[in-house]
Amino acid sequence: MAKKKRGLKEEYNLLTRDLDWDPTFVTREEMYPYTDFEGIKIHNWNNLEDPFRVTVESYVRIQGEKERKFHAIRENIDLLQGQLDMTDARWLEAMKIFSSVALNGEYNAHRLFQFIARHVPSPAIRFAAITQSVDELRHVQNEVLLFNNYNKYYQGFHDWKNYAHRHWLTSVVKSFFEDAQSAGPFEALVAIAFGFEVAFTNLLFVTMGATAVANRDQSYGAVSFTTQSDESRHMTLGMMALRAMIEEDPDNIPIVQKFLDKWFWKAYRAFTVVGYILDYIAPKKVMSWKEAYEMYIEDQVLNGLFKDLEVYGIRKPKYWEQTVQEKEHNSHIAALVLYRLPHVLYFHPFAPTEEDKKWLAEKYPESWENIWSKKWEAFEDPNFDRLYPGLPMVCQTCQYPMFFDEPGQPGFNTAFRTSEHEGEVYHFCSDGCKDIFDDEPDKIKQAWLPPHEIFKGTCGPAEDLANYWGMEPEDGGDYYESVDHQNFEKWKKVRA
Amino acid sequence: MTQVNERNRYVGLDLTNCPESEAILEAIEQDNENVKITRFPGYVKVEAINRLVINKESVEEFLGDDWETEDLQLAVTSYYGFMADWDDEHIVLQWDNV
Amino acid sequence: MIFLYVYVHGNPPPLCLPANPGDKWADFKEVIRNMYKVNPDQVEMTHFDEPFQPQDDKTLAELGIRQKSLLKIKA
Repeated sequence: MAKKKRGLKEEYNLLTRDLDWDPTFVTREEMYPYTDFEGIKIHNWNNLEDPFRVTVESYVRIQGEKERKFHAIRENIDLLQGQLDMTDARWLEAMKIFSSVALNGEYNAHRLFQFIARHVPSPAIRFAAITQSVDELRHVQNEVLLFNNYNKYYQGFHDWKNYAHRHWLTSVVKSFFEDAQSAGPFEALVAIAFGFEVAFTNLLFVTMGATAVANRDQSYGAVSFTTQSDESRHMTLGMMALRAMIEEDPDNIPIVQKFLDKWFWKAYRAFTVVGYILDYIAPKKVMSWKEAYEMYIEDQVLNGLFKDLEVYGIRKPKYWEQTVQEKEHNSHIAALVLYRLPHVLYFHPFAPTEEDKKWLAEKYPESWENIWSKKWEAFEDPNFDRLYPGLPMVCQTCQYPMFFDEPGQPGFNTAFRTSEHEGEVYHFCSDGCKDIFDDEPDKIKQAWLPPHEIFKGTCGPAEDLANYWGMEPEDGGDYYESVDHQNFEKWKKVRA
Repeated sequence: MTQVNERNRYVGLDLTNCPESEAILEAIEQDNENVKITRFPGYVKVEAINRLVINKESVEEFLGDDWETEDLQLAVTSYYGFMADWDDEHIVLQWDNV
Repeated sequence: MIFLYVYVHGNPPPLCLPANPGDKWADFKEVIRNMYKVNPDQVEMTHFDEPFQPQDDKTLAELGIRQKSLLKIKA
């Protein structure tokens, strides 16, 4: 008689959770040296279960199927000349930013999950983190493969590694991951699983994925949805771990609250550039940053998840009100500032077209007409010196140029915050970034700030900076004067 | 009918456009109350108040084919709420404290 | 060498500029004039948030400017 097939739960318990072992050659403390580092108390590590109940067998089968679907699309893009189908090549400016920021981010997320898998002594979390570290490698590889196709036809994709490691703008995302990688294992988990996966990656892969589909960029459409399908599992890890920490011991509450405050703010700041992509770069727009923020952050996280957590004594992350206020403004600030930097970017900034402006006026009735359209008028004046004359001051914590406004005073009223530490002054763009420094000054003081390093000569001679960043002369400049734009117009006619 | 308010909140799934997603949507609509569906380029958001159940049997009926609950991973691109239960027969997404 | 930051109100982001603490204000203000197209003799300035009225023949160090000082200018 054939044996009855094991159910999902039994299969998971047998093949994942119960495979854990107690060390005999070393003590448990020696095996997991960072368990107590952050003060988190977990009394029974076996209480945790992964709701997805992933086993090696199911993981390999499901991921294999995702890969099959993805590569079928990818091969078709080559075959059917997908690079000509886009609404406009301007969309690819988003992909250039993505390639330099996300590929490096995903690779570092892979390393971060390895660290979590090694150091959190729960079999459920360790196994979930192992599979997730493999997911992240899959994302990097698929994205590199896709950008390989763009690179045959367009500028700005040829040297993503140098942009990622050396360009001043990508320092933002690098510092995010370096902070997380040098934290303890529980903070690392909150950083990646909550800050990124539960909260903000939705804006990058779902909203931006839908925007890619609307702009007929099948490449990113395919890559974003296959990537984000793994993120669902990652969210589960985040939610499971978060609740476990909160429920296991009341002493964990203030520690977890601090992690949530820090990583909500850090992820929020890091994702500023996504607003620029949704509101400005996308030739055909699907959803404004404001709408995406309301749906994915306000409804789902702030008024969804945090309502569930408040019974444990967890409150919404600090400065959430400021993030809600800023949803009206920050994409415009970023677009205006980047517009002045065509000479030091590996993508093409531009001023919004009449069509863009109409849409912006509709989506931002509060702020467009009164504030931001006027700034654009001034910037587009022929007498205005467009090129920003030097290197910008950046925030010690988030490393964005200091361009964020004082809360409640939008319109280029730049906010400044400072702290003194060991007789030295440090500058921040916001209370959120200042608090992070004040809590760990000896860590954040070590930040590698691009303008300082450039002046110190760390990046080679100033006249050779473009080369150091991996840029070719055609990479920068205004989109509407670029070779990419000219070629796209030419090819479109041939294809028509 | 349950209304969304301070405590009653939506949970939801974002499903990538594919035949399985359509069957899952129909199964959700049949087996849950107050279902809200919003379509976007490339994906669809399906939400219900406080709790959303996906039954394997219903999905198979609408799909006209075998479907395992773990196959949800091939369609789901994002979700919110807690995965309260996931076994061979059904998946439950919910807020615990409503 | 020190770095200092110069912000002209309404013009984000501020510039990061390298300087020598021994430089005279008379020389440094020319950098501001060139970068921002403002007349540094006819503006209202603060060093951090303190009013700042520099004399041309003083050095940056004598004027209290130090590593990562922030000058804010109202043009």
